[in-house]
Amino acid sequence: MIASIFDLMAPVLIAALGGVITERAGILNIALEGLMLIGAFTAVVVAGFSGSIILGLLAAATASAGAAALFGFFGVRLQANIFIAGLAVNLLATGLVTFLSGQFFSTRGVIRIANMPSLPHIPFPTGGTITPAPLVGLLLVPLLIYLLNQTPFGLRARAAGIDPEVLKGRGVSPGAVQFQAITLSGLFCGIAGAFLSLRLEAFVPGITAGKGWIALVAVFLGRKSPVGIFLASWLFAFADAVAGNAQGLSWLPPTLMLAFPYLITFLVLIGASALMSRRKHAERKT
Amino acid sequence: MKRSHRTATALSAATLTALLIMLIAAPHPGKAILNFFTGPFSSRYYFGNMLSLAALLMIAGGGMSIAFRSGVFNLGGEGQVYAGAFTAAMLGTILPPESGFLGIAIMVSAASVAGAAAAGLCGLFKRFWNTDELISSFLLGQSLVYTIDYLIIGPLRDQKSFLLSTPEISKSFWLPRLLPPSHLTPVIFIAPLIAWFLYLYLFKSYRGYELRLCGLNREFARYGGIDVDRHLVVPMIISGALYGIVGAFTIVGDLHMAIQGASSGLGWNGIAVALIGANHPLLIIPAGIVFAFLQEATDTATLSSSISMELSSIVQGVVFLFITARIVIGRRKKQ
Repeated sequence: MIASIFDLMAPVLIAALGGVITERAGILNIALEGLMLIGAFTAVVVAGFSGSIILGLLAAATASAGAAALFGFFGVRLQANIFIAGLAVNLLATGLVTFLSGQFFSTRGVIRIANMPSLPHIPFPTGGTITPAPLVGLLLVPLLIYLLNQTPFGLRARAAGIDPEVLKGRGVSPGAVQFQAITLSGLFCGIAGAFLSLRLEAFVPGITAGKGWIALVAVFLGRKSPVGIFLASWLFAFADAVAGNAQGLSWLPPTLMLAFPYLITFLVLIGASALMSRRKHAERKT
Repeated sequence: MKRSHRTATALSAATLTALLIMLIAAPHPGKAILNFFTGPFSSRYYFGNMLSLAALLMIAGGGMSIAFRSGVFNLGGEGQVYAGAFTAAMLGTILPPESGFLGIAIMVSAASVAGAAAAGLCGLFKRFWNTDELISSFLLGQSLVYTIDYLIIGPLRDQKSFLLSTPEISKSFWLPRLLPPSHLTPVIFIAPLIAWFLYLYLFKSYRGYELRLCGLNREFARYGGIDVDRHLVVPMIISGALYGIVGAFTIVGDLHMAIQGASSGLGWNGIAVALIGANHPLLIIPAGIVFAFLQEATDTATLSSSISMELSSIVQGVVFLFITARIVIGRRKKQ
């Protein structure tokens, strides 16, 4: 069970790490969901036809980064409402993926390609096996801490989120930095989505099933720090695994289980904000 | 760029995208494109359905425009429409058929309460705990969608029917049809009336003035002595209530039973209509008609080919992308 929690955690963690880059740069990125979907679709198509997992991952990262660049172009360069533009990316992703799947595979359902390569399985200390996805996620945590705190790009991104005027004063365009942050978050989402579909070795409509939104909540719950995000993603994966096992026990109908990730995330979000606001009140009183 | 220009750009971009996709993908592009422009006017059936959809979009968009004006986002529309539809459909099977019009009134009111509760709750969480209403309303809305799906295909399913639906509501609760066989109902007269009331509230009442100030600058409004917290909760309740009413109207006007997936994008489209109508309740009326045309046009044009479903979501996405974008070429030179 612990091994499966890590596998469930990986896509949410990786997408949320992408989300923290934009969040720190002052962009509310609700497009994570759509960007993940594009990654999931591209990964299956490219890995299936090339027979290479690596090529599938690279293609997924590129496709999602491209879609994110479009989002950035409208949201930052053309100054569209960032929330509306994000909504557009999610709608376009669903529409385009269904359209392309209908055009090239004559199906709106599951896409399975004959020569689909499998992700390698690594034995896990407590039993069972895991895919490389959680390892990639765990490696990205320190990498992101370094990126945000030590590199010029990270510092500029954080400055763009806190006070764009300072950046302007230094001759750096906050918009350009935000655009880069969005594109980079797309790259992360592409990899996150790719792991979703590569693990199944197929593309299923609605495969992201709200995981992009849960990733966004993980960013907030993790208080915008990579380690916090890791803990939050692990918590969601734990809830997911418990719900999945409950389904195995069949005392709850599977159709109702679809509501669980959303409901649990909603309750955790409410609980966390209640705690945080209480802490703030307490701080004010002392 | 002026708002009206922006709207025109968004609508033309969406239409062009739809035409382009039809050129690439439709088996007979010429026929598909002709159908796109003439389809919604080609028969009583399509024309009536377009107006019927326009009416629902006006109500949904009107509620969203109130929320947007106050600077809050209600992203749970799909769930709220569905909750309203479900509530109405359930009451329609329980209430005595003799109650007739009163029964319909009860169904619609209960549906509005259901929608208002789902949205208002998120407004309250925002007010007291500063929970981002955008995310909380979406998550609650999605949980509602899946829970109601479960109820419809699970314990409350009509065993005698082949559809995944609840039992049919009593015939005495069916709204009369104005243009049979289309499902146009008197809702087409109610919708502009609701838009008018929203206009009065927003532009002619003191509360509406406060609400607009909050939307422009919440901090400034707070210093002006306005109870800004009130305008976090009330706009959420209004938008949720109107979404719930939309759900009820789909039941009494068209479906007559809760079918799986009954909200069918009305929650998202309400946002698009509010934006096309520049968040002005009276402009929502033409905006609803324009968007209903776009939707019905893509549907009729691609009815025979394999691209219908996703084409409307692509069109919608393009509208969203362009509708708030400022095309900035001229503006940069000034700086």
